[in-house]
Amino acid sequence: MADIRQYILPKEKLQQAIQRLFQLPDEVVAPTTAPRGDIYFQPVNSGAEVELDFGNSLVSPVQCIVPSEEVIFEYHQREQGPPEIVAPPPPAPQIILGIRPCDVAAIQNLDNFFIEREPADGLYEARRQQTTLIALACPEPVADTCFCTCCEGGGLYAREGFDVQLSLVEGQYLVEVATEKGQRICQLWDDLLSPATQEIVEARDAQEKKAIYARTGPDANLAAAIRRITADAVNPEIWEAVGHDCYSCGGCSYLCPVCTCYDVVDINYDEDHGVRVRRTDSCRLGGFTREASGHIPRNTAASRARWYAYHKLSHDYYKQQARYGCVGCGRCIITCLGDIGMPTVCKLVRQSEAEKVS
Amino acid sequence: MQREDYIPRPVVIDNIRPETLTEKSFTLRFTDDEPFTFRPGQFVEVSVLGAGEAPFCIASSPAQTDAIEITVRKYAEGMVGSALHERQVGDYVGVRGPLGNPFPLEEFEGRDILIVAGGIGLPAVRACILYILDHRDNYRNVTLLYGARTPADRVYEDDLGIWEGSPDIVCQQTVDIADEAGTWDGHVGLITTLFEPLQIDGPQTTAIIVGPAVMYPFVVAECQNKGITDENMYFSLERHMKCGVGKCGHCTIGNKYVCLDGPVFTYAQMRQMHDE
Amino acid sequence: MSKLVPEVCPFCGAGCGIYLQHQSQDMITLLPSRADPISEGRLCIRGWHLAALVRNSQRLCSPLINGTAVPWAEAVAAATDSLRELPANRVAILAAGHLTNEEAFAASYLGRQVLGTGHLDNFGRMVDGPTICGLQYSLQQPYTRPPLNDLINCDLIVCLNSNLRELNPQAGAWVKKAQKAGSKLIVIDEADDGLGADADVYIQHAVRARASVLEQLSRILAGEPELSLELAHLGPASITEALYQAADMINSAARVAIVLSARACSIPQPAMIAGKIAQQINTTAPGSAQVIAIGGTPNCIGLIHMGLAPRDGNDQSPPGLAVGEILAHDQQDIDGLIVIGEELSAWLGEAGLKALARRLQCLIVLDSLHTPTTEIADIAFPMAGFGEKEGSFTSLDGTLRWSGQVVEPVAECRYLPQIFAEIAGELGHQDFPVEIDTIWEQINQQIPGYGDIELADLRANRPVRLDETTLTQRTGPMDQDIELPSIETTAERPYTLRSRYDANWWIYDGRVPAIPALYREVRDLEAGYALMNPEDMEKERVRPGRSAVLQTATGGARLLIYPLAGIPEGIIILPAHQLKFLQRLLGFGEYDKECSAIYRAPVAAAVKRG
Ligand code: SF4
Ligand code: SF4
Ligand code: SF4
Ligand code: FES
Repeated sequence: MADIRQYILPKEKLQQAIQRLFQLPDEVVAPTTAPRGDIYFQPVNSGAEVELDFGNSLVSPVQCIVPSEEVIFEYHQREQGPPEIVAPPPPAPQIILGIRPCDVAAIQNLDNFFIEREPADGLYEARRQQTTLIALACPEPVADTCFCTCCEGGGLYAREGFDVQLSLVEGQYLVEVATEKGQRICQLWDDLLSPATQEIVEARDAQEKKAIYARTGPDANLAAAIRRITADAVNPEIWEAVGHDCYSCGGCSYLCPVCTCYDVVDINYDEDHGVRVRRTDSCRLGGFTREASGHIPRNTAASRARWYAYHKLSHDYYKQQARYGCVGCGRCIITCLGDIGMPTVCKLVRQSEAEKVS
Repeated sequence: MQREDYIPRPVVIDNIRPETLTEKSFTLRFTDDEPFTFRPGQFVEVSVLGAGEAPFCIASSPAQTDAIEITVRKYAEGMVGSALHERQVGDYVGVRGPLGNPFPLEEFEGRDILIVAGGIGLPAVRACILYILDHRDNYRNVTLLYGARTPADRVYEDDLGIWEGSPDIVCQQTVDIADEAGTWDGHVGLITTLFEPLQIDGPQTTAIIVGPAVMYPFVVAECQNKGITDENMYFSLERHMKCGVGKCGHCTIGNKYVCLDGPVFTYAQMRQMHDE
Repeated sequence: MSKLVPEVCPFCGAGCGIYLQHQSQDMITLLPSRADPISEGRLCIRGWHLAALVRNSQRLCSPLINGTAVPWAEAVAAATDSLRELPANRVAILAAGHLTNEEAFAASYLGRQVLGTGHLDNFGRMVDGPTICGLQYSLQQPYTRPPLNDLINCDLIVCLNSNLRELNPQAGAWVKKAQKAGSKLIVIDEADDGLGADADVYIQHAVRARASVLEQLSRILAGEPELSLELAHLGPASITEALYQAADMINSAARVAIVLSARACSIPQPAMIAGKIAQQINTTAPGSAQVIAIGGTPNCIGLIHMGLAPRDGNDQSPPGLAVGEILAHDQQDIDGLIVIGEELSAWLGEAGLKALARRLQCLIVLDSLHTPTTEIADIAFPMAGFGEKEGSFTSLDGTLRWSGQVVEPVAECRYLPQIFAEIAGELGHQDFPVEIDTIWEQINQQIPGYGDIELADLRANRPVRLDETTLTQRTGPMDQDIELPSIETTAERPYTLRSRYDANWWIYDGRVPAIPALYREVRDLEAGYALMNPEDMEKERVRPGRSAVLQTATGGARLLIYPLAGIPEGIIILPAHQLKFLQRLLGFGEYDKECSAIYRAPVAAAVKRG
């Protein structure tokens, strides 16, 4: 944390600070209120549209970097010669304002997976490089589904991975700048900021401790589940039970900010013109592992539930990706038709241990 | 990797050779001047615009750098395979690759090689065979066992004929069911029945095994019988591969991405895979 | 990037709320909505894949004549030429259950005002009709479903199909939520597709004995004499024991919901008895029981309101044929057919579709996707699909919900009223309503119950409810005896049908025996469920509980046969759309004995205790 610079922004100056972001050529993506009242991260044109008093958005802002559907290229078949293939224009710079610490952690996960782990994914890398993250720390768990504090390295404020972070502490914002991209933002705010005091930094830690102590959210105890799953010491009945409750809708992985699987499909607009797109796919769907011959290796909801937990929570994958696949954002709890979000699964897995011991 | 790496290189279909009723081999020639180099066991993603992309093993010799050969089975569900079967010589398709890990053929130097191929597995090891024959002096005894369901299901018949007559390789074929016409005078029986009379120096042998998944346990048992160690049994696995670069997640088995960590695995590795 | 456009999932009657958003380059993103009170951010697999429905390779992109792409003008000319040649009463229009109210209004306008035909119907009725019809009858009023999220307030849920999770996943999720909140669950079904294992009491009854089991439950609740097991074909006595336990649970519950999926019920009896049970409970404890039927299609009821049904209570035009009749293989009275958004081979089979196309002089199809039906059609028009148009659905809970437009129609696709306006224009009707505003002006004026609805409210996603009093007035008399001229007692088969015309929109065709009325008679006679008199059963070697398959126009239907002791005639209980079937039965009982169903006996009642 040595090279993180810390400042103070008075609360009443926040609007002004946000408004200045629009001076940059970057597109500003921020939480806004949709017609039904939900909050989603959307491009905004003024500070007035930004809604920072929110829990977390059901759709993670991570989708600004990994869209649920993106064009790989457009093609035109020609009478003669090879088809013409046109790559989409390079992504434009964007600022994600108000991203929560869990989603920042998820992006670190994605960086490890898409960039660090060779070969790097060009589509992701291009977008990621153009993205500046202005994180918004949580004074306390912002929804009753949050369990980031049970997750590895998780916390109510991000320790790393952001460019700028805003934490509301005792009526003022602690502003942290971690990168050059962040520096660029802070230059805009030069006259609004004053140096941070040791007190406010400590107050934030105290605030976090207090909130963790008082928290009532789902009890995931990921660490215990990870031990069980890595050791493959989970009673198969647990997976049968989870499989029984699973509708194979795919929702958990579509919304999970850490999930990366995608499908590649060609969409023909007419006989000789179309696009190849990649769109998020889900390992919870029945046909996910279908081979050309029709054989489906993971053909039961139970086997897919097991795989999902294994991929996210086993040390085998930790070795490859340097992080566990759950940041505790709680979206899978909200979206699950069968009410088997990650904490519920972890609990079942832990109980399986208890049963085995007894 | 660049953003462009998901864009296939254009190739033109130079030749189409029907192998069986459901399989055709395609020669795909690169139209840019860049040489295409690969190592036996690697695969490519072949694009038919409008139908999508699917992985195919490269069946041609790595010595050839301006074209590759693939063998495509037409499945009811396989869009790309069906689309390829409808293409004509002169049509353009796309190729991405080479992808995946090859067979570490250098490591096998100085050893006996036993190649076991079942059905459509032969194209996947053909590049190996051609490479080994090209570098014949580096290897000791080379044996190919090939099994198909019926004589009509055999692919690369011409090659098999050549290899059968070659002093460089012992080539034995079998079919599960001889055809009614009675033209088949070769061995009849499952591929495992070819093992019995084989004289193999087990510890000195490396096995390369490719075929339908149902074949594996039986062939493994035979190989183990002959004293081939798990570390020296190499497989090329089929999985539903989309991206070929370890990102789309479709090909995972346990903690392995078949496209990236494979498709070539030793039996010792396979035993460690932690999946269904 | 476009704004977020609120939409309602068109795949089933649950009506989950979502947003679609248009990204660059025709990419459409789907966002689940947590603020939507029904879905709360959950969707089933169909809902999750909605965005892929908007843009995909199966889209029909240009007009076709005999399967070949042609310019618009040519297709319109061909369509008008063939329609002009046909007498009005020989043309029919059939629409899919996912059309919006506005599209349905335009289709019905084309039929009634331009072409002058009364042969209009929709497929939503095929799916949801039997259930809604059954409920409306036993409840004696138009059925309005409580909102799905009401389940959370119940302390007992009686679910009549264990595959609810598959048919209406969102309803399955609400059942689970309610259970978590303390509700008990009773599942009554012939096989367990998942829900049974979660139930406190799971009653697995004999195959197709659902109605009997429910009737038994109803009798137990009412303290009436039980149905004899053999007669009702319930299965072992343990079933009745379990039913007593279920009745106890019902009696001690403060709020009971009876849940069923319309898709699971192709006959009206289960819904009818479910309605009866709800009323029984409500007589002792008013307001404590409700029936939650989840439709299989998003707008079946709106389509009927808009006039896409063969007889509209208020309409003066002659009664038309129903969907089953229009598609009947021996239908002689229809030469031209306009099909909107439905894949007919799903109903008729491939051979049936071919035969239909051969029989018709002209088959005009409007669809947003390439289907075997568009392929075989004489003329096919590419229609704007989901997300490419705006419009409303009338949900079974009496609310109207709006789906906005997120992208322009792809390629040459056009909005349905626009396509019809072009055809109408050629036929000399220049003032065909195309704009949503014009359509709503007319809906406000013409459609009972819709008079006060403001388009602006719909567009702004404000909650909009149908005016129930107008709706009830519209329903008209429920019981009205009518003569059945074409179905007469014959010497060979002493069947007499007493039927009643029911002017509500579910049972509209005078010649279709009003099933609920028949049910009533059965009940009045207190003889349980009976379809045939025992002597005839003996003669035809039909065993109780067996089903006979009768070849119907729509591919055959199963008729479950029970003896009805003590009455001279057989009584047939049929879904509304199976007229042909009925005629055959009455004509000469041509049921195909060879196909008669295999009677499976695995019958059990599982009662989870504690
Ligand atoms: S598994 Fe669930 S809680 Fe964990 S990161 Fe994914 S969506 Fe969030
Ligand atoms: S969200 Fe729930 S029901 Fe849907 S696939 Fe995930 S675990 Fe299964
Ligand atoms: S439950 Fe019904 S309305 Fe909801 S997403 Fe599924 S199909 Fe659509
Ligand atoms: S094929 Fe995409 S991860 Fe292996």
